[in-house]
Amino acid sequence: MTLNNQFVDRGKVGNTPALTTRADETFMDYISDMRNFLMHAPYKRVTELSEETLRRTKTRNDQWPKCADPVRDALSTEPEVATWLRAKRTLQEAYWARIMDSYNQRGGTLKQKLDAADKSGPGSVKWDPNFPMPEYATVDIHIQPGGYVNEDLGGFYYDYGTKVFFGGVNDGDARHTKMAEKTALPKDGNVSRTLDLGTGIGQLPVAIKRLFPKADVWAIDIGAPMVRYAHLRAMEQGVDVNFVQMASEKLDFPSGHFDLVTAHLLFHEIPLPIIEATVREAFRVLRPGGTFVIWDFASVDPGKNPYAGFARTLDAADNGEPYSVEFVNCNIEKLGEQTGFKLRYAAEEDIARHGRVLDKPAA
Amino acid sequence: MLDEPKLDYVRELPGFERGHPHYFKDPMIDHLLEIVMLLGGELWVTRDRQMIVEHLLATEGKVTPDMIERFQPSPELRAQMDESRKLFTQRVFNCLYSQHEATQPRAFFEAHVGKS
Ligand SMILES: C[S@@+](CC[C@H](N)C(=O)[O-])C[C@H]1O[C@@H](n2cnc3c(N)ncnc32)[C@H](O)[C@@H]1O
Repeated sequence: MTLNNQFVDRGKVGNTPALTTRADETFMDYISDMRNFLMHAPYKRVTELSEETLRRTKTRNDQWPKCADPVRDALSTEPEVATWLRAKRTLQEAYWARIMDSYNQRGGTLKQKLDAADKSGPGSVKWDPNFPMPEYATVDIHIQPGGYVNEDLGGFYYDYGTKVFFGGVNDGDARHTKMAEKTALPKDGNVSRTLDLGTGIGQLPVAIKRLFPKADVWAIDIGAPMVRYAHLRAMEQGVDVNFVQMASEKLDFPSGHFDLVTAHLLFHEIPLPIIEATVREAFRVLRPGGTFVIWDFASVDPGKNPYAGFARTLDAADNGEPYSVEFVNCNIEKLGEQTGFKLRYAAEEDIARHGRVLDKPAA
Repeated sequence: MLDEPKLDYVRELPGFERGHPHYFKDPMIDHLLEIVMLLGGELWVTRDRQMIVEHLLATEGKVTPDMIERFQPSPELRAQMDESRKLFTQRVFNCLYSQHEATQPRAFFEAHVGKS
């Protein structure tokens, strides 16, 4: 802050608005380093130690939701794992707190930007202050205070928060751009209308629009703060995408409307009945021969080692992802096929590379 | 279409409500670790500002809060600052983990959210 109480415009970092002060940004660099040093680097070691500890104490990790507390208790006897968990939680809480404080200092200005963008283009946004918000969607996912739906500036917070989360790997939306480039297309190659589900801040549809400039690109999200910010962000890049506040399980689009539907990291954040309804809705809105691409956590083998996988359980319980365990156990590949899709690739390495590519049979 | 009653169970799931988990038997250890990590951040912020002040004084002969806020280090200076921050965290937290083989960030993300 300058002496006369005005904030200098610190510009952007890639497509993300810079934090309000140099100090906030410096603090975030420290958090990123600490995440690399205390969380990423020891990950293999901590995974092995946790498995040993759970096995030794006969604490099974495969009975969600009952296993969360016993697993946390058992791991409290192994200081290296407990330290890892503490660091993860503290660093996560610290970055949200600092990001929110920072943007809120110029919150008025940022809200005005959203209001102005609501009525401007390129692209568009539609949202409803009286949207009937289902209770499951009100969770503070990733312990982001207010989650995706309850803070006007939630999209700004999410943008910077995921930037820190990816520790540089997604700077300039590099990851989303790469995903768009390798998105499996309908086999006939026709892409004139696309839809992204749970679009967040719209990085994927923006990259898709750049690849298919003639296509009509749509993106929905359940959170008004997300679609409003996504539209502002796309607009500032001069990219024409239509954002709508909408639930993926209840799509307000005609049947057979889209060539391509995508969902990146949506499915592990919705409960099982919503997962099922979303797959049905994606099937309905796709034209025959259209393709649904789901990128998300790998499915877990039902015959898995009951002492492995502590990180998923405690992430679900302590990082606000309560539905993620249901997702990894639901066998989304089979669910897609039961809904009428054909799974294009079944091998684990192919799924890791292409996501779950689900084709709606041509008529 | 949306069968709401079938969703009642979500309220009971761990993680639905934001808890305050601690990971050591004695939660005071959690608190102390947290305090130390946060203090490290505040200390780094001060070091960073000091480096900028020294740099501005040496190159411009003066410094104002505005100049600090607008300051964009050259790529070389940026690399130097990043390096000293890494050294700083490693020195301070060296007793934890440093003796083991490190997992690279990319491998960590691939394990968590899939390949890109
Ligand atoms: C982890 S974010 C992923 C964002 C984005 N796809 C990306 O790649 O960064 C998940 C998003 O799904 C949204 N979401 C959750 N439930 C939803 C639902 N039922 N319908 C539509 N969007 C939903 C959330 O609001 C959030 O923005």
